[in-house]
Amino acid sequence: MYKFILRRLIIILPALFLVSIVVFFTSEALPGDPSMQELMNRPDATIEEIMKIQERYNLDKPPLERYTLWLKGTLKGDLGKSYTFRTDVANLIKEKMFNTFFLGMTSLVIMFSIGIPLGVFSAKYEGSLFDRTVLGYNFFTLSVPSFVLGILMLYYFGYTLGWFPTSGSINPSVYDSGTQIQKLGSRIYHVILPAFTAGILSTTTIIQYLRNEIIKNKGKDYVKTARAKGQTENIIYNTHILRNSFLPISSVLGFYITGIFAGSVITETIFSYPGIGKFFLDAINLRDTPIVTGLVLFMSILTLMGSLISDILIVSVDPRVRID
Amino acid sequence: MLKKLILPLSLSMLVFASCGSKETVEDTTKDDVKVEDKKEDKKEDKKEDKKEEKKGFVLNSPYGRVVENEGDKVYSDAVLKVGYVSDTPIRGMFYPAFTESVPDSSKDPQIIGSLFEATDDSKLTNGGVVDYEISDDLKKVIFTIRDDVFWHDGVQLTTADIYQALKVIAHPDYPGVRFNEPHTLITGAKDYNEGNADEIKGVSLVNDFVMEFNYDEPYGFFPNAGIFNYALPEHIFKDIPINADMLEHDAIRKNPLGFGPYKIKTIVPGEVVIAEPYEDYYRGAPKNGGFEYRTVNPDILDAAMRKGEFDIILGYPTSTYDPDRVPSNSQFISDLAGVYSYMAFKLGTWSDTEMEVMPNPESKMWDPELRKAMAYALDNETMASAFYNDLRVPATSILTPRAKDFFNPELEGYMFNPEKSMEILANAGYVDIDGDGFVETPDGEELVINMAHMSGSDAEDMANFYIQNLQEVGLNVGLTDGRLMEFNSFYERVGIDDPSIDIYFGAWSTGFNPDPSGLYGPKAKFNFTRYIDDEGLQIQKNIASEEAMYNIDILKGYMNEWQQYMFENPIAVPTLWRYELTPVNNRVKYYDANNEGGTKLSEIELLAEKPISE
Repeated sequence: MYKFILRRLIIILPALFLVSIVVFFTSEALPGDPSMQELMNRPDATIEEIMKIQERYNLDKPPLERYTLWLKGTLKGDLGKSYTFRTDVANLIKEKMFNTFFLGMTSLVIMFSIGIPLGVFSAKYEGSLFDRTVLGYNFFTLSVPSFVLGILMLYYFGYTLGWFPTSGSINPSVYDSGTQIQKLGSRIYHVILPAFTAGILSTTTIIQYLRNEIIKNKGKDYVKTARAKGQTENIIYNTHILRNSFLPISSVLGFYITGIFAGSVITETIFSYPGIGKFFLDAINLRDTPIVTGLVLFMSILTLMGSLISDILIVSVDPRVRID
Repeated sequence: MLKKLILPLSLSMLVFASCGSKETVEDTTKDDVKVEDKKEDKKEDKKEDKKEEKKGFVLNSPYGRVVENEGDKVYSDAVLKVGYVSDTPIRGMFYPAFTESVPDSSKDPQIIGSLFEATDDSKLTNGGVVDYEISDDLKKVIFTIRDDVFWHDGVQLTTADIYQALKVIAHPDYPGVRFNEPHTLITGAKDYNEGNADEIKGVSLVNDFVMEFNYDEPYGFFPNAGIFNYALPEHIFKDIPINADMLEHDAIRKNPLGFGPYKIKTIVPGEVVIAEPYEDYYRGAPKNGGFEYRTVNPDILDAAMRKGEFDIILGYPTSTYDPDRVPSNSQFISDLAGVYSYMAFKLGTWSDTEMEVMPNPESKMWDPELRKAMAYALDNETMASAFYNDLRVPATSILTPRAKDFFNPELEGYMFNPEKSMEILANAGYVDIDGDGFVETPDGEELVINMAHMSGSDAEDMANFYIQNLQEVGLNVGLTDGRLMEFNSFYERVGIDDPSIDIYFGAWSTGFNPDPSGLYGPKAKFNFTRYIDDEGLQIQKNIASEEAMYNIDILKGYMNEWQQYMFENPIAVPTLWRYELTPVNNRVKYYDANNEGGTKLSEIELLAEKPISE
């Protein structure tokens, strides 16, 4: 097991290196550069000024040299400075990370608390009206894009009914002088709409996986044995079937956790929720290469870690899987 | 599908805002029209305005420039809600000495404070924190500071603070872009900038309230711009090392200190800035209880307005405006922006070795007659009414009427005239030889013109409209690569003189400085037309000459010549000027939308505790 983890960790390094090359040069290849961005604001700028800015960001150097400079900095933990915010990329990511994490966790909780009961009961009562309703619900969540649901939620619950705030992550006056509990309350209040949007839409996978697994397991021999032994339906479901049916979910869980950090570009943008997803989109639009490369690298690490976590989870949950 | 979301976000980038320079502003409405809610009235107003436009160049804002509401009580504790439509989050940079972005700087004077008063056409005047005096030889400026101005922490504003700002900006490691002419001309500033001196020789602090700036060369300071107008609290900045890392310092990002009417109460990073009144402001405390400033997602503007989330929305995208759906709790006011849209021609290339433009007589668009014909073919009036609800107007000059000292109202411009266009083409030898409906060049070669146009909302229809205009006079015009270009690739390809672009449509904002050499000069990288000729160069030289510097009438004459030259030799044809719309909630007692001399946030009185919802 430890050997396995160690080996996987070692593989991550060359993978990251390759990712860094791809990321750096693709964002370099995007049309537009920061000296242009900055000067677009001031058409009266002189060539000397353009050159000053290019020098400031090493843009006057050839790409390969720039890459080495960037790599050196990154290895030291310095992702460079954002062109637009003029401050350390690492700090900026840190600043946004909490919001994204909070949103992700909340939507994860929503996803599981809706997805698991629906999945379990629709499988248990397979073919019933309830099951068919859940199936309809599943088709709905699968086919409705998040930006449509997001805008609808924002419009009805935010504007028409006015139940929830329509932008931001916290009430500024609470941010300023509220107690910790008030702050948490305000954050939860602000996160509900975006979290529901993201959460509801991702229940599809959970419900489908769970339902299929349970139905598959229902006919398995060990269930028949349990029944023959005279165990109650509840025990059969809760201890025997459910435990086995959660296996495939744990294999995707790692990636879900990665997804939390990577943020939800669309949800965050619609709800003007200042997290990593919206930040990433803004950075691409602004051609803020250091942020883009920094974030993609960050997300790549998370994805690689996520797949590692998934593997470890599977190994530890499923005794049949063994790695030498 | 994601594209749909991104497009509106990138809209506000389509216009270049000239943030480093103050724009010249024209008082477009002499009479302060009270805006009524009823649509009918507005439509009538519009018609009247249109009539007036035709008469001459007194442009009236379609909706007036002023909002007035009546109420029994003024709530002096109510907090003003200001929204800014932007695709970029608040960057958390307040000092004008360090900012580059528009969203943050638009509220600067309210917090950091400004040294000078500005008239409504952006000339600096005396009567503010600093009175200035320019010597007759234009080589010395004397500042006299009021003795009752204090930073928000109670320390008095003195000459040392202004000198401190210059020392930061001129420093070799200063991480910003404000060290420009004429600050570079201050005696000793270059020495200091190169690291050869610890102080700037040309600045002398006579006492705490009087200081002198001496310049190496005379500078026009016209229209009283270019005067050093930054101040940084010396008692704080003297201890901050000047380098790129200073931008991370709490004194810049978290607790910026100003002397304006508001002080910062809270900054929620990237979300909102809350300012509270600074009671000891030298002109008296603000008339409201502070302001809350946040960026607004353009997709939900309408709903946000109806819900009464904002009192004033700045940077409102006119493309989302629908005259038939104006919320009843708000009024729209407008003012002419210092921006012109244009159709420009590629007439050469940029030489990286010479660092200047290289006009190429072999260019497809070289023939001025062809360019004139194209200019007459564009139906800007229909464009303005069909696509922009008359919030744009056909432009006659590459200056806007806001530049009231220089704008030439006599200029007739290229008004839509397809017959004239075809006549010019025929006279210049452009006739349809092969009968395909499109003209050939005078040499009998096929003429296909590739047009670059940016993407954006309605951009496809607009581009097609212009293409149709041009095709109707017999010109075979099509989009480069058959599609619109995204903002960045548009400017990149125009900037590298992509041979597959013959004409391009863009927009420039006009700065305070009338000198056109930054956009049309031989050394200007932004001269994307890549054209210069002796006549143009001479006019540009005249405009920048010492003689024009001392005498505004002479400068006016040269500016007239320049506008005439640009008309006769169209290298960039101005197409549309634009109005900026500002929605104002009905709880605002009085608001004048003029960007420069209009109502300041601190002067706004509120008639209700909260913005009125629909």
